[in-house]
Amino acid sequence: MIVFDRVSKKYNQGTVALDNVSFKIDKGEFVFLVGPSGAGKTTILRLLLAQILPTKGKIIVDGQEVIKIPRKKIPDLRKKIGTVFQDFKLLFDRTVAENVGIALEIKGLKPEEIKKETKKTLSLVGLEDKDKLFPVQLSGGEFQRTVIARAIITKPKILFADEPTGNLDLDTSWQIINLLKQINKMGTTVIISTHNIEIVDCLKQRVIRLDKGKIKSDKTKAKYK
Amino acid sequence: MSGKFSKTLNQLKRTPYQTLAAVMVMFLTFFAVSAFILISLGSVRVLKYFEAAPQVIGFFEKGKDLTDNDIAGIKARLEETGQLASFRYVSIHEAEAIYREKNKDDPLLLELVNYKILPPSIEISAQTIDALPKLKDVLKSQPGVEDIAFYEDIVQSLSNWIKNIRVFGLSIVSYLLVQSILIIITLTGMKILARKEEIEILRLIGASNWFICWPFVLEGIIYGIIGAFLGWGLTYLILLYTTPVIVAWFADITLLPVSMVTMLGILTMEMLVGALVGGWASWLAVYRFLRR
Repeated sequence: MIVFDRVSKKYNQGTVALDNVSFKIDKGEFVFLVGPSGAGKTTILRLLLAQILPTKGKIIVDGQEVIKIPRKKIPDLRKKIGTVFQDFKLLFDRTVAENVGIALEIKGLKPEEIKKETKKTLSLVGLEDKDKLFPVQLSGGEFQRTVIARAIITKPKILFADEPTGNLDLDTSWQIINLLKQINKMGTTVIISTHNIEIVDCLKQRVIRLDKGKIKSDKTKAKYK
Repeated sequence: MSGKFSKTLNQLKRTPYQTLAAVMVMFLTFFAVSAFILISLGSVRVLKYFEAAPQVIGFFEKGKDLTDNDIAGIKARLEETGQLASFRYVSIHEAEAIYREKNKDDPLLLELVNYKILPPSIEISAQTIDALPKLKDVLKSQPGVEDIAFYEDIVQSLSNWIKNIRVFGLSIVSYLLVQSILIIITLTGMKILARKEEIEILRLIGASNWFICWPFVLEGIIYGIIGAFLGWGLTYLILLYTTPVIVAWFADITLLPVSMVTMLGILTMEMLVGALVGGWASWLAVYRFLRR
């Protein structure tokens, strides 16, 4: 599903964000990317979304080499990856339902289909009665659920959650992680970037540990057994 | 489509001053376009009127009609040039009738004049203005011609005036169109900057350029259509209001009323051009932003 083959990323000012990173994530996997701030987790997301291009190496997403995707086709790549952004990226002048439904609007669905799917997805994330609220009216957990709902409504093949529990208390963090586990069980490949070691250790899933742009360890699920 | 349209209307309501500025500049442009089109149509009619009127008149001895043979001979010689468009012989009695009709409100003038002191005449017009001097020379050389009235200069200067009006009008319209495009590009650019974050989010979740573009393009089309309608409307109102003055001014030339079909044709054309100009200018602004 995702292949990083000796990928390096050096920014213009000379910062090395990734240094010769290689890993492979299969379809349906649940993977944690862990590491301190500046380890390169968000850079991996930005490379996956073709927001930036690697300085060296090859990235393959769903059989397509990212660097070879023409500019016009980048939206198609992004539609394959549901993203929960670290800074949420919600539209504050739109309601919860509009924020979630916009992903389907982009796909060109009809308004009635959008309405139906939005209702279904909001119910899945437990926000069925918050559809008419605006983001500022939501709690931290509800905010995060809205972002997750927007990311999964299109039924993407991959879900990348960048620090989804970043600003949440422990209870709410677990609720979010359980929701992501539930989405993974439906067949979606889930990648969570986090530095919440407590959750990572409890779940006993594959963990790719990054530090200063390099992979320090790649502990597969089998190694916990 | 109706959903997209209502969303665009909401966007327009959220930025009322920018919307007003864009509509006003489009209105001014299409007011000038409408005025220019109507002036052009009118000037063409004025020119046609003068071109159709006799351009050379040859006057013969007063109080003495020409014989049929004389008239046929002169006509034959004029036809030899291959440039004769119309030929009319006006007898002394016809000349008197024309004189009486023109001066029917002045009994003193009617008393003083009768057919015996009026000359018969031959009125001709040429197929092209360039051929007039040649026809004039042929007519002047005919026996019995005492005087020649030659309108070449009038038609020529009228034609020049119309050419100048067209050049001036087209220059003004071109200037205003360019100005409208630049203002819409600037206003759309400001709107894009205000919604930069939203655009970035949409791009990250997979929105195509067209998805991002269409609300702005639709806004531009709306500016164009409303501006064109208002510009046309004001021109039409002014035309209706000034109709009595124009009719009195161009007494013998039928300029008005302009048919409703013509006016609706102008409106349709202007709305299409407005939509094209507004949509294109907005598209250009978004395209420049998305290319960065």
